[in-house]
Amino acid sequence: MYRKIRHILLTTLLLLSTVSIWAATDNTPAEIPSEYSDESRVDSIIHIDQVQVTAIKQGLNLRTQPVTASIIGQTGIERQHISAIKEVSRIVPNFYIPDYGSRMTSSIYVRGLGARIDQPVMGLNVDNVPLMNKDAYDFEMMDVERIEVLRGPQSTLFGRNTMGGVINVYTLSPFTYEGVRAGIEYGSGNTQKYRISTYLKLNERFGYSIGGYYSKSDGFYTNLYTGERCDWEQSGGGRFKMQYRNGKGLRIDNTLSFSALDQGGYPYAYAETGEINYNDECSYRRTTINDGVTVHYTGPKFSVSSITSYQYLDDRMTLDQDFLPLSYFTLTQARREHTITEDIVFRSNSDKAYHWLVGLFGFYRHTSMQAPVLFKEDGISNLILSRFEEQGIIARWGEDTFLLDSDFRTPNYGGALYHESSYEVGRWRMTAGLRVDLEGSKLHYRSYADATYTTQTTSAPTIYDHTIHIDNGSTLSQSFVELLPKITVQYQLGANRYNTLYASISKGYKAGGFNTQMFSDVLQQQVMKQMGFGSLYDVADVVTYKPEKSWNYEIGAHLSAPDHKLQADVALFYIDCRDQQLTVFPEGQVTGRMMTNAGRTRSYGGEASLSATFWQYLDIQASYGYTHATFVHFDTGKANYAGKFIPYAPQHTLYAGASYTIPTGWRWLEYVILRAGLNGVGRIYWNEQNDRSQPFYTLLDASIRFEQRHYAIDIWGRNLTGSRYDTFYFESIGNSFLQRGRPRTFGVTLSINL
Amino acid sequence: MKTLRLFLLAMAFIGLAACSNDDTPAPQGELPDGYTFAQENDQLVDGRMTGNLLFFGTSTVTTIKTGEQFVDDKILFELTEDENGIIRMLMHETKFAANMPALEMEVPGIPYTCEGKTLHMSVEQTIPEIAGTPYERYVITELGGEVDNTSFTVTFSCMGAFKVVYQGKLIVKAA
Repeated sequence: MYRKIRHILLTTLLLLSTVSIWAATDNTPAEIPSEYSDESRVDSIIHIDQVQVTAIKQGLNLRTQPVTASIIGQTGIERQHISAIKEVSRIVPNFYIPDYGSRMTSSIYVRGLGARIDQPVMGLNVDNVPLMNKDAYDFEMMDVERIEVLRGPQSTLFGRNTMGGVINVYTLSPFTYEGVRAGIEYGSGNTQKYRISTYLKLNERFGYSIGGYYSKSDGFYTNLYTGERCDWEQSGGGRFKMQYRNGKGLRIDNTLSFSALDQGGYPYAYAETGEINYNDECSYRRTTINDGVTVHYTGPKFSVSSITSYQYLDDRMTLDQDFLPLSYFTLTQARREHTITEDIVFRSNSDKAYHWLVGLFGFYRHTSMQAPVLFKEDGISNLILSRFEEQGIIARWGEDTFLLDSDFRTPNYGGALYHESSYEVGRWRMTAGLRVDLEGSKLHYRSYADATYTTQTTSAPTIYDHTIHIDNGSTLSQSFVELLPKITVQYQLGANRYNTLYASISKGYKAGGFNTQMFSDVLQQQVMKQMGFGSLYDVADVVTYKPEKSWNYEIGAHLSAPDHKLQADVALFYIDCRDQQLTVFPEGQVTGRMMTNAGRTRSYGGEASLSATFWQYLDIQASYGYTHATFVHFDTGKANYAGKFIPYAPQHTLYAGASYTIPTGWRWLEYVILRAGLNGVGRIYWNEQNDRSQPFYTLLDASIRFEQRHYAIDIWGRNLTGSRYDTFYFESIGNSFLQRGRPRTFGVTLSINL
Repeated sequence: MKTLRLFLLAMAFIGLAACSNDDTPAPQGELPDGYTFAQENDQLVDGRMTGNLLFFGTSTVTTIKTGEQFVDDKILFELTEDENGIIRMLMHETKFAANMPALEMEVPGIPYTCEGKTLHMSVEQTIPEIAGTPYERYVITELGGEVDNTSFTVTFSCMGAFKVVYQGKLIVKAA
């Protein structure tokens, strides 16, 4: 059946290609419609003064491109109270970011692809800066003008870790907005948000903006052990943006942003009782500083852009790893990371039928991390000493705790050269692109542990003294070269350039690397070996994983009424993912996992989105996504999961929303906007065995907004029906844990624009 | 003439094979890195072990009750001599069943006799050790073994439940 689907997609692509070649009887350049049309009512248009990576790499209007994209403009962002990327997943089909754990654990699942280890499947660009660490993806957004979610591999233009797509976030520009914005919000869980920003265009050439925010929440879930809410949070940050235009084609943008976060997080409940009850600290703290400089020059025949960024990340995660009111073990991960990126893009801007793009990308990232695991009395007793008891040996530990510590330094670097050509003939456009991506990665590690213990047989009084001493260090390195091609064919239906059919074949790529979390397995093996149990694996075999690759076949359509009051997008896709990064038990072993690229998955499905405006004041939005994603190969050494559904990836995503605007005719209150939305997700399988799952569930949101040009008051509610659902499931030392979804919440938001 | 040369060559190969006193089949698994099979046993001199003997071979464990067999062809056994002239047999990463973790087990107190390049060892019962701790649960009984130049064979029972037969070849560090 899968061959049939792939056959259909390939045949369609070939047919479109053949017809386009046959139709190419006219050598005169096609008339290229203007991209600077007066469509200010449409959220999907990028303002011309904005220098945005989408415009640099893909053109000014995504709805005219052969790509599946969801675009949320400023109005939609404000009216739907979108303040973080994960809230976008409520309305975008086949794009799911569950809210669980902490702001570090934002895993993205798109079309069945997800981040099973530590490389993401989707890239995220914020004001052109490609965030290189997915642990920084979940942040409080402020003054966002536009969010784009491009689905399907974008690896040819955007490179590594865009196997599932790319998210682009653009913040307000002083060239498109001037004034002061402020906002205050209060909601359930004693949630408070404050923000203020000012945008000033000093003259036709120079503008700047500066803003800051602070938010705090007491949380929604109580840890029975402490009697206090465990998912509290406070965060703050700011942004300083400068923009320069010389009026002769040169544009320079610089955006400096910073954020600080401190949260409890991890409200994981024991599945048997539904209670959150753990005794050790769980917390996450993070500081980020990002600066991105975009220099863009438009010449007579081509444009050139340079996007330079520096990213700093400093975070610390502490976990009660057993999540029980017992003292098993805790995990801490303290990290500091510096990253620089540079992307240079040359793009033709002639009005001929042939267009080209050439780019050069490079990055360097250096990460320092310390990751101690501390065994406490229950962990020592139940996980270590119990092994001796099973053998009829009395064992006693020399200390109250047992520290297994590891230090890492990970320099990671890469470069890429990419090209894309497109040719337009009549209503046809063919595009082909190729990226050559090179990457190198090293891991300098040092692991150490010291302990003493004694053993005694039950039949004799002799006590035997033992010492555990581990101090190992070395350097691992690997490098990759990937070719990332893409071919698309697009056909314009009629005279409206927003009505197109397209087909594409593209390759996606998720980078390889080193899974430092596996060092707990490395140390565990070494400790057991010194105790006389188990085997030692080569460290490189345990922690190293190679790139994951996918081939994506897609056909789709963008449809739009001439006045844009009705827009629809549909797409069908088939994804073949190979060399999937997994942890397995080696053949013949029952303890000790290692990393491997042994998986293969297959997913197919479709998406549809619709937005419509009726009688000027009624807006309707709907989207639906279906994904059938299963393992083709996945043998862990203990079990074979071929044919099982991929866990954590929802099969259905649904959104239906409507807003009705009532003009009052009053100057002090111009509009009253009633809005309601229904969001549905599921079924989500929680494990490879597929014996636990979250059935399909729906959440109902609604709001009433009182709007005037200088202020707006929103009264809103989420999960109004009080649906009970789970957002995450995992197992630890044989116990199952869940995170419940947010309960019914209410709030009020005051926004001011002066 | 050509046929005669071929015949003589074949006879030479057969003769060389016949001269070998090595009846133990060569192990099939991969050797540890940096090691090679020894051609001669230089550690058996004047009736004594003058150094450690490391063997690479196959362990066949039969569950006495069910007859089920577990075979591992990458097993290292090592013979060392303690200060009292008694052999200690180290079984590196030994498993008695597929679903048990590997054990670093040492069998102490095995007396031996040696004549030329042949060594015999046996003990009726001994308690093995793991990381220096005696494990009475894994009591070893009816242990008998022979080193014949580069070949080593040993049999024993463990826990009264498993019958172990090990056959290995002497390995040394490659030059």
